[in-house]
Amino acid sequence: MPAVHTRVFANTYRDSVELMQIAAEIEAVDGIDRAGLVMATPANRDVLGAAGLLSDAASAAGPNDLVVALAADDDEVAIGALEIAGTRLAGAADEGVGETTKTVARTVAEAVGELGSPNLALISTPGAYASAEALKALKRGLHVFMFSDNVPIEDEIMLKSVARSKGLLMMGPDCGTAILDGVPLGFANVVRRGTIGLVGASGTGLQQVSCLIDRFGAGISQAIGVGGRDLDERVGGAMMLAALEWLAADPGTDVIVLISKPPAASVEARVLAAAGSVAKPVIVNFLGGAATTVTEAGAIPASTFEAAALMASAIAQGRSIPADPGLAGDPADDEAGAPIDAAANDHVRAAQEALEPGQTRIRGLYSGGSLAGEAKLIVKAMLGKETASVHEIIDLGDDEYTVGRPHPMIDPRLRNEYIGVVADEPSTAVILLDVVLGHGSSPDPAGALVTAIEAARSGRGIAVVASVCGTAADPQDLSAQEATLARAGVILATSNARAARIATAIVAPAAIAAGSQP
Amino acid sequence: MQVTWLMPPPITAARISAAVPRLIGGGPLHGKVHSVYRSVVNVTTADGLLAIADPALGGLPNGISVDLGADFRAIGLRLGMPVVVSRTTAAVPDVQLQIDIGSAARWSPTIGSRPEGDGRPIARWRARSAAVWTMAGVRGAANGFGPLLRREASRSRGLDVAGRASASIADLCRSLRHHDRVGSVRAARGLVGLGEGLTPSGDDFLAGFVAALWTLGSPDAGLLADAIVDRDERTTMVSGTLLQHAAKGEFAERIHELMGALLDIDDVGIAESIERAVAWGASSGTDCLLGALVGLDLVTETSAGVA
Repeated sequence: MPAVHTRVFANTYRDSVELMQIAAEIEAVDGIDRAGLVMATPANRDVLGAAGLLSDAASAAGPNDLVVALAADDDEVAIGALEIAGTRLAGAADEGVGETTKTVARTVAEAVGELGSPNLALISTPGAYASAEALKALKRGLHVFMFSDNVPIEDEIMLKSVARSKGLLMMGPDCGTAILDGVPLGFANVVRRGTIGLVGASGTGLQQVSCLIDRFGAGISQAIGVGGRDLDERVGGAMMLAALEWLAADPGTDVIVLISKPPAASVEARVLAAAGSVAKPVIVNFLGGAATTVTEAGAIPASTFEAAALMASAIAQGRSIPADPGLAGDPADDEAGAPIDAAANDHVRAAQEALEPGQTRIRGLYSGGSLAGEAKLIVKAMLGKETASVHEIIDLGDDEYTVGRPHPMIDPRLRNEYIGVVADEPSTAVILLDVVLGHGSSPDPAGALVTAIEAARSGRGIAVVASVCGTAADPQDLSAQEATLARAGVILATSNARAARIATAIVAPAAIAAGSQP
Repeated sequence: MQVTWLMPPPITAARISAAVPRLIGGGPLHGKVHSVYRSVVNVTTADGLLAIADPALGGLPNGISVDLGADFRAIGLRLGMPVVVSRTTAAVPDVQLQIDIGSAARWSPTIGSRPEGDGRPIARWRARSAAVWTMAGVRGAANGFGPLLRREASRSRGLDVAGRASASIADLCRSLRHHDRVGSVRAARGLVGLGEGLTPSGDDFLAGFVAALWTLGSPDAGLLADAIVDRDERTTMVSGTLLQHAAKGEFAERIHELMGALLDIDDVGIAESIERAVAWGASSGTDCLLGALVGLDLVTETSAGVA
């Protein structure tokens, strides 16, 4: 049972924003079961009591005292977290008495003044304030990368209109990733520079394609995120069209890849018409969209992120364009030439033999929404809509799961809890995972999963299938992360599409053997 | 006095709250620096705190608005430094700071009542309530009482503040609908000092809630005074001071603006006002907005006889 640790900071008056930041930092410490950082008012002492976090020290504190209370199994973890709070509060106190001379820009105007001639503003404020800041930046001639979400679509339309009129990029809202002139923004991987330009309305989709291009030996000129709603009818694909124009004119880009969920029909027509008019090859990966409309427009359709990466890499390297294997593909085809995929069939057979009667379901626990979307399409393509409906693939990065807690790409605890839950369900046959590396992600996402995976695999023969979205140059190191998962008995694939096919093959041998395409 | 002669010329305050002279009383007030933030210095008085604040924050009910530079923390103020405030000057001799408040413009923190007899604000609020709740839900903070704006359960790790608040808010509304003064005071007391932050969410909620009641001239507007009789034991000094003013119908200028926007004739600008409201603090603006919306709904339903 976790032990409660408390520290009381008497007569501590920090502003609410500082307190919230410190609370979030403590909650994110691995091993903390629950935590509270509140002024010790009677009402808050009651709340701490209800949460089992009220110690004698907290009981004795008064309304002007700050209490940090937390529960953890490991005393060292608890003490470390309390030290973090102490250090942060001491730092804030130093600032509070004016002993620091460091200046921090408080406005876009101040930042422009300090930097001289910046050309991009990264906005990551809560959504309520993001539009106003973005507008200020655009009016000063800056491109905008807006990580913030919960921005009204009316604001997005307005901001993108302003950007278009000024010849600027308005990336987002809710833009997870971009790589501009080699500089990563948001969640981004360290990929090789090259001649392939990417435009994506899908964060982890863009990451997956850029990482696979790196794996295939090619490189990226620019990767431009546009935000998940850009291809909504109301926004009209404003930034995908703008980014397409930029890449078409960019001398460093030879091939262009467009990535999105299927757009609204009118938007798709506009984007494809623009793609068809570009003098460079344009590969279009509108997940689940119709290939024929893409082909008719003069562009090249790709059914998966991997297919898009393979085709773009082949063109960039002067090779002939490989055939698209389709969503169902073959889990063991060796187009990518990776040894871990060559062993896929052996893994599938071994996993099938370990299953007990009643173990029939795939449980996908994803941190990337686009990767989860791709996996769902593949399961449906391989098994048919009706059969696929018994399987469950969820995006734990969705707002539904992340309110009040960090994204699972940053903090693995939420997914570990779900792994434990689905492992206890008798019908679970396969747990399907994505592991996303790169800037912004957890420093050791594979390591953080190992305990939960090993617990899930103990006892019944549950197969755990995963792909790692990353590169050798990422801070977490792709090969080290894959090795960690392999040691835990995870069946690894080189791409998310392959992982989804392996998972499906395990639960549906007949469908795979027949090569059926429902 | 040599000390005065050595001091640099005073900085003229832009505005002071009409409640400040009441805090000062007849003679010079001898206080101490209580806390220092980027844009605010709080000074202890015998009756709560006096706030010396950047004009960009707007008027505060206990405030002197004066521009002391980009960061108040950079002018050498230390906690506990003596502060002398008269009707003409506020001074911190240790840092040679003098503020001329005698010639500053005054603004009234007392919120203007729009009496129930005038049904137009009530009708306007009824017509736009649902739309405003939706706008507020989209724009409100994720923390504090933000989840309640969206009718969501709190997902805070460990502390179920929003859940507890939800029960007290429901109790408060139920008691007021049944004209149960004891019950409503008890429910309001359950919110005092509840939640995260230097001004706990429950206090910010109550400020917005009673602002709505004062604005619509509800006879229940004074309930807060009974709920905070022991405020020093129930919440932080900063927050208790603001509640004390709220109990008298005195509010920060941003709350005046919010109430004005919510009940104004035109719908234009409501979204912008809500954005400005929720931009206050980490969750204070959101918590206050929730209180205002609940208060407006409650009073307009009561007036219409809707249980």
